[in-house]
Amino acid sequence: MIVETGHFALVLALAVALVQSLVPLWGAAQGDVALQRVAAPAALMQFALVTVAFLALIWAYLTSDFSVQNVVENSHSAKPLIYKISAVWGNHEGSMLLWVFILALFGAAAAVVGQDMPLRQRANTLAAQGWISTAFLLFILLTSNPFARLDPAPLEGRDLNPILQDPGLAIHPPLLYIGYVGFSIAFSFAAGALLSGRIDAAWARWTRPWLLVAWIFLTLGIAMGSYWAYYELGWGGFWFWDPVENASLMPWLSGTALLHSIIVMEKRDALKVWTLFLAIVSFSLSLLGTFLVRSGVLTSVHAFATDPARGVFILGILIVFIGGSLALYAWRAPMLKQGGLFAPISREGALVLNNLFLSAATATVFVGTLYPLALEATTGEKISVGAPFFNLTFGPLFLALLMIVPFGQSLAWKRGDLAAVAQRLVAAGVVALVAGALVWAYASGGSAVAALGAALSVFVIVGSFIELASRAWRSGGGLGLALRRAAGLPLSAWGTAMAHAGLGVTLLGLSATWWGAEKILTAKAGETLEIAGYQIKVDALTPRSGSNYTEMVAPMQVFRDGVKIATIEPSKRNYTTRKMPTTEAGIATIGLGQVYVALADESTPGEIGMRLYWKPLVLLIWIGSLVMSLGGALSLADRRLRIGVARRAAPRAAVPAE
Amino acid sequence: MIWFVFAVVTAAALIAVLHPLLRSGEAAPAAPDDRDFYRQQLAEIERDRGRGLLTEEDAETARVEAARRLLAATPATVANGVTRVSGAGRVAAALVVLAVPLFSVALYLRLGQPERPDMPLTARLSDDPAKLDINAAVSKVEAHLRKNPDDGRGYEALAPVYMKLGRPDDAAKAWLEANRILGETPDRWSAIAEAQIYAGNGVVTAEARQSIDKALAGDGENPRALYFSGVAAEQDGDKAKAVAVYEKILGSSPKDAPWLSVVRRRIAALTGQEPKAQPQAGAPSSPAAEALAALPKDQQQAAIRGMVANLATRLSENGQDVEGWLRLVRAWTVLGEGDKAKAALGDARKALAADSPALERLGALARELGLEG
Repeated sequence: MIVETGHFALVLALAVALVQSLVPLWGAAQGDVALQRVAAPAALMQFALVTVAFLALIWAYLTSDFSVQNVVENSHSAKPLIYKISAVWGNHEGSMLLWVFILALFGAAAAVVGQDMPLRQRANTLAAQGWISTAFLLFILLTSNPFARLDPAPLEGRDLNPILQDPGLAIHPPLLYIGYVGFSIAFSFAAGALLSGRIDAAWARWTRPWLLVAWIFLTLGIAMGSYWAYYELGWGGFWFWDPVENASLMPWLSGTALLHSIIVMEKRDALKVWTLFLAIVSFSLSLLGTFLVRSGVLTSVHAFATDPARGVFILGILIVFIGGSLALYAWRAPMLKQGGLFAPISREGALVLNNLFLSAATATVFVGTLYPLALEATTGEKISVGAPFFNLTFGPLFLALLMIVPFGQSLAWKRGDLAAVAQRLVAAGVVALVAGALVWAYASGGSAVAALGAALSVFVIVGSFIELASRAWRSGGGLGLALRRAAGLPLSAWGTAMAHAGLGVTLLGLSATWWGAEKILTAKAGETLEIAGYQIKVDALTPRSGSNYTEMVAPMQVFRDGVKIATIEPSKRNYTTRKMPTTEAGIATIGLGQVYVALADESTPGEIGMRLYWKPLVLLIWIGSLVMSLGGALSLADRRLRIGVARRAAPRAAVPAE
Repeated sequence: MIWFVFAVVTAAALIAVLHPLLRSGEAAPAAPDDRDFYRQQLAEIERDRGRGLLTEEDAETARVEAARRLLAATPATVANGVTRVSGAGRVAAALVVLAVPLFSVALYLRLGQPERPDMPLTARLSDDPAKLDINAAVSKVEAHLRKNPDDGRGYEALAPVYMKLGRPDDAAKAWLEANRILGETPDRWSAIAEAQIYAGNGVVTAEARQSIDKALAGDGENPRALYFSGVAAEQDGDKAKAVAVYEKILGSSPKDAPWLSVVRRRIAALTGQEPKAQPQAGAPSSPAAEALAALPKDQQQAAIRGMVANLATRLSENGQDVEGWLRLVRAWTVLGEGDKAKAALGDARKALAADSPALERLGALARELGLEG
């Protein structure tokens, strides 16, 4: 009964979502207050109903109810509890339900938090959220129903894809989905604003916290996914420019641009139309990501199931939403009141530059991801666009963007003084040059890219905090006063500094890959291998079997100057039921770097191929993402309203010449 | 019961969604408008200035800008006061009350199965054993053995059931477990050999030979092990040895042993004394068939079906085998599965569409068996 109640609740949620999509709009058109007020309770009710459905499915997994097809296909009665729960979204149907659950959660939260919004705007916004829910609930019920039953019910399930049997699955998709779906709120706000025909600084103020939440989670989700790929797939890399990864990177880039342009809008009442456009684009890219992953256009670990009906349905959703919102934009945007103009050398000018770079970066990823697919679809020719393309296009754009980050952050609103800013950033520049030189010396004639990257990252990190420092020191005073003043600075200023510094930290980790070491070799038991000053002794080479797999393990000890630092156990597994091999990398963390060993196949008996890596500072890549998210969280915690404070361009000019 | 739950949920949803329309006549809370936002902004500028975060000069600039926006902002269009539900509201409410339940029930009836209860695994397994079907019983024992992997008797009991279900591989494994826990016996080894031969479609595999040897090492006169060693010899083409082994069984078995007739028939077939004992035309004639014949009646049927199913699977993977298809069609007919025979015939014609002699033979067989016309 619980299963069927969950199923009915999902159907009812669709009905309520339809009410939410239509009634408030009608109310807004008629000027009927009561009808517009329906939006909020409908959003709450929709959330309650989707929650019932989601819990019912979790219940079916927990009790191993094998009359539910989805449970049969993805679970097994002997599976550990955590994988029973995470398997709920480790498959197509369940993950779509999670998607809708988060969508409804955001809608409900917007209904609760948005109580101080003008009624009409709130009604329109929640109605737009209702359209998205309707589309995805229909998609689930008609093409991917997680509550489909099997008769007769088998007595055992088929277990979960072994790659997905990992704590990573419990965390990665929910994080990423909160990020993707969070952009839906920005989209709904934009659609609501276009429908109401009004957009102003207050709009930015209401939208920004949602955007920040989405951005924080998307950042964490991408970082988590990358770390998971790094330790589970055993390729020694962490980012492969795989279309699925790009699908999550594109909304992140345009979302980052949006986050910056919306600040301009909130503080200076400018860039309105552009901001609306970015809001639409960011969510469209999230939808595109969902389409790429769910339609089976791509075959990867993410494409749980390939079914043309689903692909066509999502493509339809994509066309309706992107086309519809862009049409609405083309129709209504010209009617919006434009904001003020501003000088190019100013904080807002720098933010526009930031937006230009981020948009261009999004475009390169978009082309690099979709061009091969389009080419294959039209001519059948297969080309592969990978790291070389992105390194040449995306790389320089992003490095240039990073160069201007500290400048933009230090410029004043309205009228900035570039020379003064440059003067303040000299310190950061000097530190950066020293760091670059050190890396150059350490990597002794290594790649210039490494030295440049390191210098740039140090510049960004130090530069991020220069603005804070200069504000704290502003009018002289002792160190104590400066510290007190620094503590008193708004949280959002700290948030900005942290987020930008995080970017620098990640870049430092990325640059360090250039001075790492890599070896491909074959080894026998008892051999000692050498990489970047570490000695790795292969203790043995033995087959072993686990509960549902057999593996070839090579236990190893890592030494430095004769002192044992760590033991690792890389292995090559074969999951017997699903006949799938997986590589379990052996990773020893030493400081911020890692020794990473991935086994290949046994070439001749007693001898195994393997790849050895020394990855200095590799952890910084993910630590940087954590710092970025922390910056976002600090900014979110700052509940103040903002207004751009213009600094008088040149107080000296006011002083009459003597 | 379930419809009662659905009704309650639906009613709750409707009341929650429509309550703004039901509260007609109440004083509406003040609707916020944009000007509040700028007023708050102005207050905040003051606060920041007071805390020393903004200089006097900066605060002044900011205040001017916020004030300018405040003046530009439109006042709330909705007059605060008593809400009246308009005619449109009443129409909408009526539509929603009607449409939501109708839509939900109609869609749910298409998709859902209201009459089906939940079937949590633990509840299914703890059902009254008399009501359990054989598969559920097997699962229950399997679950028990996962928790108590050293229950040798459990394996011992499960193995013959596996044989009956046509799962000889599992049967062999279960007997091996029993051997491990309870100690090896010649009888279990001979049973393992039988399961392995069954799993190999009647071929005495190297694995099976080892099992036979172990059984005979424990008990040189174990009739089942002897019989299968005879079959092994036959498959090696060593007729003399096979006959010797079969003779030995006859010599050592009690006079009323049930397997004597089978063994005698084998000897006759090998020595050519009794050609009448040849199996009928059409039925497979091989040592495997004889091995089958040695099984108890109830196991025979399951074993035959297992073999036929194996053949069907093999052909579905590689259909370029005329003899195989002919055997399959005939086998399904003999087993009384006319529909499956016809389906197999169809599949065969598809697989061999390019091979006209093969199609002719298939047609001839279909006529012979009366599958067409």
